[in-house]
Amino acid sequence: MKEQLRKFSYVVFIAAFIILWHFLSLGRKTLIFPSPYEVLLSLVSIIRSDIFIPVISNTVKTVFLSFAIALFPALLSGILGRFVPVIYEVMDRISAIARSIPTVAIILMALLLLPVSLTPLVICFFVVFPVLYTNIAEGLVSVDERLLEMAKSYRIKKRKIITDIYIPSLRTFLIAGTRSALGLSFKIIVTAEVFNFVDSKTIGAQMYMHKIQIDLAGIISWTIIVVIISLLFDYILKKLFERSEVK
Amino acid sequence: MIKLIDIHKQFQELIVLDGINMDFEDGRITAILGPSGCGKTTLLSITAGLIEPTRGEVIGMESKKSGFIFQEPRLLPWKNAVQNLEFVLPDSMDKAEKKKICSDILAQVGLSGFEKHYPSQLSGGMSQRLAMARAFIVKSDILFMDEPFQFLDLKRRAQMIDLLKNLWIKRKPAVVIVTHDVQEALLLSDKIYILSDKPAAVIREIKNPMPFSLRSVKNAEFYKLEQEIINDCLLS
Repeated sequence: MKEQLRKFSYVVFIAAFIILWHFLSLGRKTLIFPSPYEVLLSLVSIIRSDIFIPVISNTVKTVFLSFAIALFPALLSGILGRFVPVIYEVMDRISAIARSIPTVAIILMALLLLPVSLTPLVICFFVVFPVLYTNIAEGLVSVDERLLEMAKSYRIKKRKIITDIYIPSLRTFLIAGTRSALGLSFKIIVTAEVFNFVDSKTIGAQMYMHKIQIDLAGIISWTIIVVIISLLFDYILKKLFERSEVK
Repeated sequence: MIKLIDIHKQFQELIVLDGINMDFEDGRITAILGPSGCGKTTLLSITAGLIEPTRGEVIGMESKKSGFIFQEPRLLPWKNAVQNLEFVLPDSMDKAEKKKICSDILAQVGLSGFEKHYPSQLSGGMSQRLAMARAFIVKSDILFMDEPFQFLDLKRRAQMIDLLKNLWIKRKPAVVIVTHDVQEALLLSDKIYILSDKPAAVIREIKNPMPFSLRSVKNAEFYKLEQEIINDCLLS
């Protein structure tokens, strides 16, 4: 019953939002503010176009590539930092600085300094790495010392301690880090693609083209597509982690 | 035999252990009895090689295989009962052999049928029995026990003491048990070292005159010895 009520209130909320949007668009003073129906038409036309799948796959590919590129160094430096206090101190400061640099500054510097094809990857790395590193480092620091002492008392090998104690202890932090980093990756990659117009078959480039044509319906449609893809991957990740969850 | 020679331990200004000398004989159970917080656990950790003494040395531990039962079970929450036991077994051991010895030890501690249960699905007593199974499965030369029964009620504690006796008698590894419970020390050990309050020093060494099979709280000699320890050592 509660679940049904929750679903019903969700539908009511979306319907109310669309109705409000529709009435607002009726009183528009400029031509650019689209109605829900115009956005729907634009969305259908984008989905039915030949470039839809290549555009999506190009952006998703970049998101996952940049995520992977950030994950492994974050994992490695997190593990090293757990055992070498100097590395922990240095990485802690680096990630704090990286977190506070405005994303747009990273984008502009990357555009000026790096080959265009690499910019989305590099930009995403600098934004996502600190998020992942912080989660991993915090997870490793919070490993239960009593379990480590138990392992030491049984003279368990270091490799086994890492695989059987550190990595499982890291799980919760890794899940939280992965989910927020992946969501962030989508936002950053699309932003970088807008600035870095080298390949038209990316979501960011498509948004940029709609912007040039003053086609807000197109921009909103691509935004909806990004949100849906991002939520879909978040859902898949959640289900994957749930499946592997221990009791 | 394992010997502790003139063990000192100091944490900053606080002197915890002050010149401890002890012998732990093979095939014998030795209890370290003392008031709460006197440094018994620190002494046990030094003996097991988990922490370093400030001064003094531990002789005879180099080649010894050891097991440890802590105050809490310290089971890996993401591993089930069998996996927790396998964790301490050598990787080189054959899978079928691992399975068999895990199954045997679980039967001995009364946990048959709970192989796939995770620590969160076991009661406190069951978790402690699993921890005991883990300590005995490694076939250690010396077993360290740090007040392993202190969180159990009277009935469960009596059951665990019986279980420990049954498991120990099969291989008779050296056991060093730390406790503040006089009855527990007298029921289990052949020799008792009584420690003073902090900074801990050995104030008395007692050889338990009662044979293993006759130790019982109902025994008059047991009661006399218990009162003697309480009045002469712990209350003085």
